[in-house]
Amino acid sequence: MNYTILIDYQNRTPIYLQIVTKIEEHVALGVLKPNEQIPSIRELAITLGINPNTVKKAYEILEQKKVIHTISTKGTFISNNASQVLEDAIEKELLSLKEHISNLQKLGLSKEEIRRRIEKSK
Amino acid sequence: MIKLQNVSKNFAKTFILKDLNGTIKDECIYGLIGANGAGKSTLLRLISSIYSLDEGSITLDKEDVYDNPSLKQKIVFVPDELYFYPNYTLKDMANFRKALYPSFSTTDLESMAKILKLPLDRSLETFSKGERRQSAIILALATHAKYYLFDETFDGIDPVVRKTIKKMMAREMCDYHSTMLITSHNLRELEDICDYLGVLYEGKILFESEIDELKATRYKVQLSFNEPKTKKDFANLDIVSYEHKGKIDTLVLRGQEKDITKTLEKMHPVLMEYVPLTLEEIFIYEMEDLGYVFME
Amino acid sequence: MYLWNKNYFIQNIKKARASLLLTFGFALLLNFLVVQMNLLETLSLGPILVNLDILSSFQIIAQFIVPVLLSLILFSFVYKKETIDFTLSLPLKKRTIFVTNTIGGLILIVIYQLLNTFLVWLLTTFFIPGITVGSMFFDYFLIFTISYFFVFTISNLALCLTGNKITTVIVILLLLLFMPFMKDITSCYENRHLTLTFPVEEQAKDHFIGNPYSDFIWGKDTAIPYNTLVTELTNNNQSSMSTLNYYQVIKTFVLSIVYIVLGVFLFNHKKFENYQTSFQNRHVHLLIKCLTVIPIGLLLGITMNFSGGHILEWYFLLALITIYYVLYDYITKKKVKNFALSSIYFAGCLLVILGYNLFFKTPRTIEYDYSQVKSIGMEWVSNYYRDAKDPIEIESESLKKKIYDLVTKEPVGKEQGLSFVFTMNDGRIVHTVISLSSEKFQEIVREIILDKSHVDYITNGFNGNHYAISYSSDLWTKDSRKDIYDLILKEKNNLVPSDYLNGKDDFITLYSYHDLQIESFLVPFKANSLLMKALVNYYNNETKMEFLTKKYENDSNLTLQYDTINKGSNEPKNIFILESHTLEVIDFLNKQDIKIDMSKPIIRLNFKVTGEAKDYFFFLNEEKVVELIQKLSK
Repeated sequence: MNYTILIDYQNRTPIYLQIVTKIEEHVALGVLKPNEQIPSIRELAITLGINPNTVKKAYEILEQKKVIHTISTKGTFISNNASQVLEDAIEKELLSLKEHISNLQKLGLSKEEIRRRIEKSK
Repeated sequence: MIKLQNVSKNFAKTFILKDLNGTIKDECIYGLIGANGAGKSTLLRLISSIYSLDEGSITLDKEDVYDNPSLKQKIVFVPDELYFYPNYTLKDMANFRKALYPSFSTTDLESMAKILKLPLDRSLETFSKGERRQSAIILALATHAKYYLFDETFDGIDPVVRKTIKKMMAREMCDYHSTMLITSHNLRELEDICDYLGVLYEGKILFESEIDELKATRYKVQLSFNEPKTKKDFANLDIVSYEHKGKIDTLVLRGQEKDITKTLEKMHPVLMEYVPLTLEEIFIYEMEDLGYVFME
Repeated sequence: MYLWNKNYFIQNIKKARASLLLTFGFALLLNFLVVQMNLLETLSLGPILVNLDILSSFQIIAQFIVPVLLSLILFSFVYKKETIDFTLSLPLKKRTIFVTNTIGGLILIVIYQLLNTFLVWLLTTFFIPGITVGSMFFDYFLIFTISYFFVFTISNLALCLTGNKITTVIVILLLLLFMPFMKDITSCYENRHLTLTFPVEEQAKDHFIGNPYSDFIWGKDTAIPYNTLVTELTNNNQSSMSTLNYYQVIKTFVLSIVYIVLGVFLFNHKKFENYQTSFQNRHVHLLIKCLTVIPIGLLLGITMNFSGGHILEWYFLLALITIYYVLYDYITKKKVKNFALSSIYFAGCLLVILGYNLFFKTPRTIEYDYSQVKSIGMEWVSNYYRDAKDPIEIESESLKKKIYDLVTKEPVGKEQGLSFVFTMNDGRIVHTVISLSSEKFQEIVREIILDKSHVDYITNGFNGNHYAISYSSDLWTKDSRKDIYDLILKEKNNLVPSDYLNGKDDFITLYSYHDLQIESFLVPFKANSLLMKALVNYYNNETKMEFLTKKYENDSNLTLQYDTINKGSNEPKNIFILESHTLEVIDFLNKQDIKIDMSKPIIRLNFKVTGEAKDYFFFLNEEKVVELIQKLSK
């Protein structure tokens, strides 16, 4: 399997989190398709040259998030409904965001002002 | 699991290691940072049973390591100054190791040598320093031991070779579930290899942590308030370091980003900015918090 | 088994094969050359009866060098940090490393000594043939294997105490030299300047009462390497190897085992982190240095004193000691900068050496009286008796007193000398040579030979494994002349003490080897015996074939001498004429068919060719010789 992820070791983001994020990104972009096989923990660890425990951690999170699933004899695969899972996660965040925006509006900010201040602060 | 309990070792009446305690978990890659002369090599030599302890105990898998051949068969020590028998080739050294370590695999050595383009039948004395280092590493990995002790082995290895070796180490860990302990006097050398880091200072392991955890839970924030603040005002936060200069308060905090932001916002700062924090800086701040000035 | 690891040993040998081959190869070569040299030297004096001294002179020195080198090679890892890391991180118990190298070293020593013994056997059997006996080669192999092993175990012990190669050698020197040698050196010095004497009366003053040192017999409580070396260095006429016995061999071996056990213990507790430092404390360093200077100084002194004539003067000795003292610091890489302190220690050494010399060199005299005499033995003199390592101790108390009185009271006669060995109650030995008149000589010898001890020996003694026979200057193996040997045995079995006094005409010597020594036994016989007849037939035939029938241009490389076997009524006059007419004598003997009448007086001619070891004997009746002389004087 030729699939590989670029890890930034200098970045303060933990490696396992980078793996989770990158895989989710690839799923969202359509680089990784549902039911497509991805490297096993072992394969990915060797390809990247990192401790397999780190990869294991990442895969566990992805598995919990239902983005991937492992069939013991066959390998690890992108979930059937992976993009759907992502969609669901995005929806959940958007909902929470809508709530925050609503709270800000109640504090007296207009949508324009909210946008402006968000862009300024981060 | 390597367990170090109250380990003390002295040379000519000066204590190099004093009441050192630490645990190295199974299947981790543990990096030990320390200044030159801090005692890293000594500790490794104690674990590989070259030196004997003055006080305390060192156990691997609950067995005492001193003068214990059956346990030593599961340990490989790669020292900082390498030695090979004179005029021996890689093949000769492999045969030597095979005779003493039952788990050694000559085929694995040969395939690793091939990947690194190291000749099997040339005297090791003709190798460059880097090639010798690589030879020592693959001879070690081909032993398929349970514990690997690398003394400043990875310092100065060029990136291409480093990547190849990291892959070999990853394979080793997958297939044989080994634990690795690597020392260096430079944190940057180990950042990309280890998942745990410990600091050896003044004869003890002062601070150790999982790297990922550190990265995820240390934040540096610069704040400015209308009224002057003191450290006490931030008492509800887990503070690593606090500095007040002019109107700016600089804090290094432990915790989740979300929680920190929430707590700080409640104080209504005029200015709040997250400053980038390198791993090295995290260590320096942590050490200072413990009361030590960390010198590289 | 947790004491021997074959793989580690093989790898250790493999890695050091160059040094090992060089060391052992060189030693084998040198030994071969030295033995060859010894043999040639002995050969110039006549046929060779190979003894342990001929074979051992090189080994006596090498036993202190080769095993030390072996130890340094096998344990070379102890001296460098990288090699310590390498070896001690191997999955081996420390004691396994130590014992494996010890046993391995023994294996190498055994192989070396086997090769050595084989080469020496080749040399003495084929290249420069001499008379040898198989058990002597076995003893040679055994003695030096054990002494090499002994020194090897000491070297291994030393490296457990130090981490520096040179310091190890120094400590070895200490263990080897200081403790055991001091006792021996003390005895040497003491005996050299000790005069043992008896209360001698005026008229008996010129009898010789010998210097006890020359008879110093090393006690049973030394171990092999020491006594052989000191005897060798002091260059006294006593053979170095004659001081050995099997008890010492066993003792040395047992000591080696003790050193190994001690070594395992020390090695296990050795702190390998201190691998480079010579003794840190400068006082300790200086003390150790002095402790090595002293025995070296004393040993040099002994060599100086006892090698006859003053090869080294005292100032030369002083210079050598000073140089050693200075060099020591450079070699052990530890310089004591405090010159004053260093000088004080040096002065201390010199004081000790000087004091030692002065104390033990003060001439002392011990005068013994008869009550302190434990035993007296008569030594070999003239045709009487045998060359014995231990003279036979006289049993009769009255005879012993008589001999003592001869030494102390008998007026010095000019005709015959007789040598006695007195062993005192305190263990010291006194040699005496008394000069007697003919009658007194005869009288006392008769009494001695009739003493029970001597009678027992003649009748029951020396029935051991005879392997060689010598007749006059000729030497051959028992097996080569079985017929003659049987006749000798017949004569031997019929011997009575008086045969040694008079009544016999000639004698033949039997040699046996046991207990590490060659012993001989003289068998006297009459000219009309079957033995004489056999000898005469044998020699006349052989000499005719190998010597007489050869063509000689001149007599420049020939010499002719003669011995009378039994005198006739008239001794042939002018017998010296024969010596100047060698070629004519040869001619004469060739032309005639000589028949010997065994009942008549016999003369033996000895022809010698320069450069050949062997003499050629030819027997003639006295009448024939007279006839020949008359012919030649015309």
